[in-house]
Amino acid sequence: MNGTDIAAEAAETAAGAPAESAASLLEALRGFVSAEALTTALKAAAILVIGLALVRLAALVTGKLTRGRLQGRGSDLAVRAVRYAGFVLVLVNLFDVLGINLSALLGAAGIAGVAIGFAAQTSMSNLISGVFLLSEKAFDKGDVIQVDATVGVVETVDLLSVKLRTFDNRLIRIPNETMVKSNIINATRYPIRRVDFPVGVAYGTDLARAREVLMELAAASPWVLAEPEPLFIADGFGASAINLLFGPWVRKEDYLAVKNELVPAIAKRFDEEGIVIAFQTLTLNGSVEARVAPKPKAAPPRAGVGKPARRS
Amino acid sequence: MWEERAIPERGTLAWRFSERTVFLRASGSGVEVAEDASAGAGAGTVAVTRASPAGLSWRRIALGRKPELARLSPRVPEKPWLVLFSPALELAPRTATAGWIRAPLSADLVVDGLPLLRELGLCARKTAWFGSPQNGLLCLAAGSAFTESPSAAPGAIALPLAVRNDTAERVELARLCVYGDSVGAWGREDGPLVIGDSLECTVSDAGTRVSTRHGRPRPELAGPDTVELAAPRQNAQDRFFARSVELLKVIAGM
Repeated sequence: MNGTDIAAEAAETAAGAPAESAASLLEALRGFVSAEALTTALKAAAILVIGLALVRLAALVTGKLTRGRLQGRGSDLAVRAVRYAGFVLVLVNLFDVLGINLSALLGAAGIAGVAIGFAAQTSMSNLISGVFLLSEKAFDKGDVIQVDATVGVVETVDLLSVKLRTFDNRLIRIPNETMVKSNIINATRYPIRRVDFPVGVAYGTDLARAREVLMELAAASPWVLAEPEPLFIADGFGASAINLLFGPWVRKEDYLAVKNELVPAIAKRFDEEGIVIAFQTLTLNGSVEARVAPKPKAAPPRAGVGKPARRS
Repeated sequence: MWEERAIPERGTLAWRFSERTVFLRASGSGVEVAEDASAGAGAGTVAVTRASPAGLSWRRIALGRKPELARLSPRVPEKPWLVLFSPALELAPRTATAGWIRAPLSADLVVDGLPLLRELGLCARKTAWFGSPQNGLLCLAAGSAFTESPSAAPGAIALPLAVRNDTAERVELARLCVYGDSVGAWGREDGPLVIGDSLECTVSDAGTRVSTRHGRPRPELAGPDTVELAAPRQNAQDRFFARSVELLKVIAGM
């Protein structure tokens, strides 16, 4: 081959290369946007658009249905659960249409789930406890509750914890798991409640008169309900007093007002009536033998020196 | 007692009831109102006093002009009455009786045709609970005897009550819840006696039912110049409809 032939061949090759690559590119593109692939893409898009719209609609309907019927944040929780379940369904369908094998993905997800499960054991426990708390409806936002030694107003009922505002204005977060395990006293569940005043009167008190006085005080109080009648129980014989229990009924919002009114009123009226509110007394019986010790013969201290003798 | 009165330039207008006195005096371009819980002499009268009692808590209401006329307009309280019979009313099987009960009354203060204060209590108020401790209704306590004639003290309303026992057993009626919505108040403009619409209570095996009959009371009971001092807020049909809807909501869990 001479030099002229080689140059001609090189020029021919150089001219044919772009045409060939363009053809192969077109071929690849044709393969990619085949009718089948196009259908798949359209299907996936449809699933995505319609699915997401349906999820949104389902969440909206769930919100409307549950609002006002479920307590606290129960409605939000239900909406969220429907939304997440919907997303998962849309995703599974999308993978199915795209031909992605889910078994491997699920296997991986299972392993990841176990790992996350171990790591998030406490959170999951609180989450499930939160669901139980919401379904039990033992209290609601704004209720005054006592959990063990903690008393406060329920600020929020969240998925993981309940937040209480104490009366001295502190925020206390109690995990839902603790709430489920503890005894909860709801002081404001019912519209009325009894305010108990345990009173100990001295032995020898006219109990009928004491009862009359207490009932008169209840009748005079604007907070105390006329019906149900106040409770009066002669509770028993104590060490230093006869124990009485006086329990007028009030509206739950008047609880503190009636306490502040009746405690001083009872003390004042009992004092006027000569009824003694008993306190702890100890009566000692026996004889006292006095023995006078002889004075020690000691030299008188010099003026300004020494300390006065301590008496015992 | 219920007619319009001129507000004096100097001095205080005082409406005296058995357990309450309402004071009103002019104050620049407004009025000042006070209530006294202590029972005063001259219950059932309206008078101008030179000196009002010391220690009253006055509320000032601005009108923007000099007040001229004031009146108290009787009002049946919004809260239902819980009539606590003292002593309890006993009825033999299949018998009926009729008498009078007494309940607390309220009033609206109207100055120059403008209602300034609503539901001023005209007697000592005590609330009571009707129902179970878990669920019920807050009412105004009306401790009352079942009397043969209207004996309403100034500040209270006398209600004619007919009770019928349709059961085959002896019945003891200790308390009765009465909705005041459908009760009108009658009386003379110048008199303290206020009479309410007739109440009918039927005790049957199905329960206790209280209904109201709206109408002018007989003149011999309320006096010849009796007028309707306060119309019922709701007629019996409306009340029945509202109660039915409430019941339906409870049944349907809505």
